[in-house]
Amino acid sequence: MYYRFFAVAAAAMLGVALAGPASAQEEFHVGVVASVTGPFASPTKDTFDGFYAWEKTRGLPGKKLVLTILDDETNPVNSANAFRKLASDPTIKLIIQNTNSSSAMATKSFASEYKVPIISGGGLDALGFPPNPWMFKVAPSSTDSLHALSEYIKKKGYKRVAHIYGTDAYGQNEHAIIEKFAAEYGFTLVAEESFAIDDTNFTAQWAKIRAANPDIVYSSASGRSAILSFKTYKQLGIKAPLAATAAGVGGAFFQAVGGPKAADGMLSPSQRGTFAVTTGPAAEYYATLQKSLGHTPIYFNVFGYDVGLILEAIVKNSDGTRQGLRDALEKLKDLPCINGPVTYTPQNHTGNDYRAVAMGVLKDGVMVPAE
Amino acid sequence: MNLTLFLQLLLPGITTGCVYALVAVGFVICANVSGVVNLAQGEFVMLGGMAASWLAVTAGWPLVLAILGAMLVGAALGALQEKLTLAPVRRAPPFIQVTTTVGVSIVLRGFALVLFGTDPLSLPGFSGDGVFFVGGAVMPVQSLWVWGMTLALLAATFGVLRYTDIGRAVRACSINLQAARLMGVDAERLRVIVFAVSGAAGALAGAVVTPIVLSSWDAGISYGIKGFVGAIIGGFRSPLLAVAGGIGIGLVEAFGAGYISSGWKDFIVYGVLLAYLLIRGGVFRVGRAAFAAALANPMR
Repeated sequence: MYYRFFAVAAAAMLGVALAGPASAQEEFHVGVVASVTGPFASPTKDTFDGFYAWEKTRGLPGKKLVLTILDDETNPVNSANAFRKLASDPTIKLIIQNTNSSSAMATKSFASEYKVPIISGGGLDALGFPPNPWMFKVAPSSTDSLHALSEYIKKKGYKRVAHIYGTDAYGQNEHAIIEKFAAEYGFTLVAEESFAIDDTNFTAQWAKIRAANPDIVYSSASGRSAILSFKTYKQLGIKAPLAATAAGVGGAFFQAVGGPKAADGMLSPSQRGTFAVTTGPAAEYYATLQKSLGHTPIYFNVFGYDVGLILEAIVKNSDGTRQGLRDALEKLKDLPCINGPVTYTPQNHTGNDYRAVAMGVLKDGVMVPAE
Repeated sequence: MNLTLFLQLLLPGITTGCVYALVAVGFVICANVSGVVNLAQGEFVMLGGMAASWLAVTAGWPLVLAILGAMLVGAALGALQEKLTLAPVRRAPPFIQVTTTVGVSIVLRGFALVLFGTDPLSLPGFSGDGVFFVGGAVMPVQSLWVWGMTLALLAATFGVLRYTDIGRAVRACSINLQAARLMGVDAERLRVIVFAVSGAAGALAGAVVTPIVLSSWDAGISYGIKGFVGAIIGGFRSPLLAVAGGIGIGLVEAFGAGYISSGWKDFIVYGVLLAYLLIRGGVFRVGRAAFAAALANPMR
């Protein structure tokens, strides 16, 4: 397929170009499975921006980072194929999954077969727990994020909650957790609406949500779905506050809805790095990232930078082999990152935990901690 | 019944259905003139939206010029599709010709991806981004543009088909190509014109609907499939039935999601299509005959 060829070629050239000038430094080869195209392309681009900012400002001391990037078109089958291709290359020491949860999950079962460590994107709980020895997830689990949301719902005294979610693995997982938390936190799901990620009309779902008269609506939509979903919410004049997954709040989202201020009042269970980080070692990283990007970092920028910090730490603390890198990953304990400390154990491969999540609200176009 | 909810499902269903209807009409007319099901039809809607958005927002063209520019792109690509990819395989088996249109569809998608990028593009509403109310249901003002443009395009299509020489030639070709040629119809030229007009109409549909649903390089598949379903319901013969089919698909989607389950939306749409095809194919009639035959001669 021509478009795939162009996308992969362009991404590969970009990766090589940004990998820095040629030098006599030892090369360190990393494979990246990325959703360069398809519905998850916008968050992927934001993540790359953050990762390249890390590479430009810190990188791997004494080593030249060489990236081989393959596009999965936001398709789990392509993701698995791309992963196998990269993992079959013995020069590649580690693979980064810069994709959504569904694509990342598609590679989990192959991780042990190829014995190559994976640093994975995606919020799905099952990516990190139960752990595959070779797969390491960074983002806190959806459970941690929805725990923060449920605490907020409880604190505000909301009883009637609506949930809109995609029919992909991420959306289904979020819905299962919300259903579980409804009983634990004492709220009722008065509307449960789903959509396919390539849908273009969300009116039916939002009309039913409006008719259910909820106290708050939680949206698990990301990419284009998040934009269209938000526009429909606004058009229908729904008064209930909207909370959205952090995966839906990216650069393309703000651009399409008319800027960050247009989404003022929108809540999101956000990682700490989404707010201006001003204390601890992460403050320095945050300032560096902000300066490098030239704008206030958004969630996926921070995520990309943190992946770089993890890579930097394990390369420093290992012999550089696949096994050595894997072992170094599993020994990481409270590594300071912008989004929050990263810890892995043999029992749990979810890097960030509840300490990395807090409810945020957009105020004057900036995400600040919610009252 | 909750009237507001009913209207809130009905009106956007009509809006979405209008786009499917335009794609369906494109399918039917192209198929009647060329004998080929053009599976790239949905991509012209996508390209129209992307091109209009890029010209208006990024390049800063006035909206009218941006839309005309998008239509020009659609017309040019439609004509090129016929001239460069279908004319050379005219004598090949039908499946080769249809597969060629799939190839064009993929190339157009790749073209859009490389040219416009991966982010969804938006376009300001033609009369602002306001809304209006009908019986408590809320609709974007842009919907009026979609409905108006659909009506205008369909009226123009039927007017041309019925009252102009080109329209009569198109109808003649669809009835009997050889006879039309013997009567002096230049079928090759006619195909180029029809594909160009179909491309331009698709692009216009894409530009008009983009303020509501955004446009993205991969959006053409969805429009193409749903428009194809509409054309099937129209039997690939009648543009009027294709319009009814396209709008019907939009309504089934909306009501299915609203009254049954949003998760079952596509299942319902394609389930309705399957049922329609089985009924139209005579499943009940054939089934009854087979049953009667079996009763008459149980040992057969």
